[in-house]
Amino acid sequence: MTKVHKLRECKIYKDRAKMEGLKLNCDKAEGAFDRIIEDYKVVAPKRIAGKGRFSDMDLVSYDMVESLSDIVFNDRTYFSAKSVFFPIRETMFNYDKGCVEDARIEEKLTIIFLRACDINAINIFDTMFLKNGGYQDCYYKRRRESVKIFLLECPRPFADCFCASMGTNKTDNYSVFIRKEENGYAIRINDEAFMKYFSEGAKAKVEPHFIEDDLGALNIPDSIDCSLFRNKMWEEYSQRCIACGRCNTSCPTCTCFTVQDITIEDNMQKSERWRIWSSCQVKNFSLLAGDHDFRILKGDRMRYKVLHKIIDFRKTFGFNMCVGCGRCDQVCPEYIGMAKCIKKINEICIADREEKL
Amino acid sequence: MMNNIYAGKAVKILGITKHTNMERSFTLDAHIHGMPGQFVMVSLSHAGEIPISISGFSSTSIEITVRNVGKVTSKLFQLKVGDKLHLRGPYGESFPLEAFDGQHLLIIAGGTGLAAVKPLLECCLDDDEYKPKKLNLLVGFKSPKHLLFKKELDHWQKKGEVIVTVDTTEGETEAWAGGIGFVVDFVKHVGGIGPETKVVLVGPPLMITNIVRELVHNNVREENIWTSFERHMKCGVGKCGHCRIRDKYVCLDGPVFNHVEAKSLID
Ligand SMILES: Cc1cc2nc3c(=O)[nH]c(=O)nc-3n(C[C@H](O)[C@H](O)[C@H](O)COP(=O)(O)OP(=O)(O)OC[C@H]3O[C@@H](n4cnc5c(N)ncnc54)[C@H](O)[C@@H]3O)c2cc1C
Ligand code: SF4
Ligand code: SF4
Ligand code: FES
Repeated sequence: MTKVHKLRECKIYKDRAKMEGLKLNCDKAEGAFDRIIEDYKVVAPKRIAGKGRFSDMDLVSYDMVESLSDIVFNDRTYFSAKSVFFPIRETMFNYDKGCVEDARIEEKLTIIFLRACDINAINIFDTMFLKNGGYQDCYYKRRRESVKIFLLECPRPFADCFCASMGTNKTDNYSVFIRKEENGYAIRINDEAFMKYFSEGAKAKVEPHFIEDDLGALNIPDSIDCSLFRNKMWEEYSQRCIACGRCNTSCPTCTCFTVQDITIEDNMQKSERWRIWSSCQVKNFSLLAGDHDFRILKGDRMRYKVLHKIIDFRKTFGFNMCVGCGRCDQVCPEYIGMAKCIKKINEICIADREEKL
Repeated sequence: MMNNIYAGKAVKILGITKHTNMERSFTLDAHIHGMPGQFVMVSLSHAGEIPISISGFSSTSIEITVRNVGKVTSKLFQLKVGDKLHLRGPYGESFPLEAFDGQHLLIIAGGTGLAAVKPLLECCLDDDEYKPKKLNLLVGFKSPKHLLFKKELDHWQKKGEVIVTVDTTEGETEAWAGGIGFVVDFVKHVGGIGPETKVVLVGPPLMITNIVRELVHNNVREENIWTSFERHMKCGVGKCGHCRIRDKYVCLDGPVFNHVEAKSLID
């Protein structure tokens, strides 16, 4: 058995008073980080110069980091970190002359630096891949089990974020919290497995701050009326959306995938079965043989996505599928906004109710 | 090996029946204890994996009936007796057999849809546990050339009331003794339809819409109608997301839905 399996059972501090936190200067913190990366791969927000959406803009993106100073603490990433535990493309099986073998992966323990919304998004991934239908997805499980979460604080609400409205602004599901301060770092350790890396530093009370109010607070309707399906509000999206699927690929809670068999060239004996991210906004998501299709209008695809995020998923699991990270708004080339859409739905629901009274 | 929900078992093809140019049944050396209405995931390396209804059970084998329409199904049609494919399942909810016990049951199927209801028919006719007091089968095909399960249809005709219709007999040389026209037009020829008649309906979406309307017109209560859904599927186990409609997954909560629920499932 690899280290991954042995390390699985970590104790989360029950008695919080025991470990309040510590402060380290930059050198000591980097020293601790050096020891951590001997054991873990670390994935965190990183600045990639000149790769931003507009000219002369940088892209903030999840990537491997080698030093604490590489980590961007104060900016939101364009894409989420989901590819760490749900790769864009992943081999499921290798076929060789009629024999089938599960694809092997390198099981390296990985730390991901995440904000509260993205940590809550992992809970949604766990729900889909480990609970839905009572089936556990082994490919997801083995990657997920080697992930440790480090919390990043939000200095302020970012544009288009609405985590407080979605109730995903807080979390205590993390191993370590790190805040960058003027002359060093403030650290809080929730997971005993990480104690050994932080032998130095001054004891201090360290509590993460969470966003309490969104810039634009939203109300999420409890339920919707079927008439919403035929409402004119969806027509605008049919006109605007270009079905690029970016809103799905950037979303930390979109879990859909498709499956494809690939023949390895020059060798008809060998093939692989891949799974690949797929997008409900893109053509052919629902296509049946014989060209029968559903949701041909892009407005219907938008309705399908948005209602899943804020109504349908909750019916089964009791919490929403959207964590209000605002990424889909940021990435959409057509300036289609999730928050605006939710607002419209809510207004329609209120108008409906008043009409009925 | 991991406990892999996507891993099928290699099973041998024991027999192949050619119904038409487009449709074949495969008997597979698989011991699967499924219920009528459930499906399996059939997998062929180099091609992919698809959901197929179980069209027959025996204690030592199962039968599937496949229409050749695309990548995986055409590869399946190249296989011979003795070749192997991979299979996992059974999946999904079955027809509610206990609801049909002692009742008038009408089964309506269009084309390949007959494969999905065949185990239900066999169960009602040959099994003693669940016995409808009266059983009608109404099945429609494009033309006499498109008939499936001719031998079984003869057998069922001896045991229950069966109406076989075809949309057209154009271009046929042999005489056709069954009905001619759309299935929906034959609903009124089924004797004894009433509010309490239980109806199982499997076929293309348009046929389902039309027949439900006709049934309701004949006073059948909506909660007595069950249909089987077909949606794009990539996993069969509630993970890939493709088959979802609202809060339901066709692979988990379906493919069989009561019409009252089916009505609220807007894609
Ligand atoms: C619950 C259920 C039971 C079914 N039972 C039968 C049966 O008994 N006999 C039969 O002939 N067919 C049945 N089908 C339809 C069958 O699954 C499709 O015809 C088949 O997937 C087409 O695959 P293909 O690769 O040959 O076609 P392509 O057009 O090349 O399809 C590509 C992929 O799209 C998806 N897809 C396409 N059409 C369908 C479809 N109708 N349903 C689900 N996924 C689809 C599949 O993942 C498929 O691999 C059933 C479908 C469902 C959902
Ligand atoms: S739907 Fe948009 S706002 Fe909600 S979690 Fe996904 S990307 Fe973030
Ligand atoms: S990102 Fe915008 S344009 Fe692209 S699919 Fe999503 S809503 Fe449509
Ligand atoms: S077929 Fe994948 S979720 Fe139903």
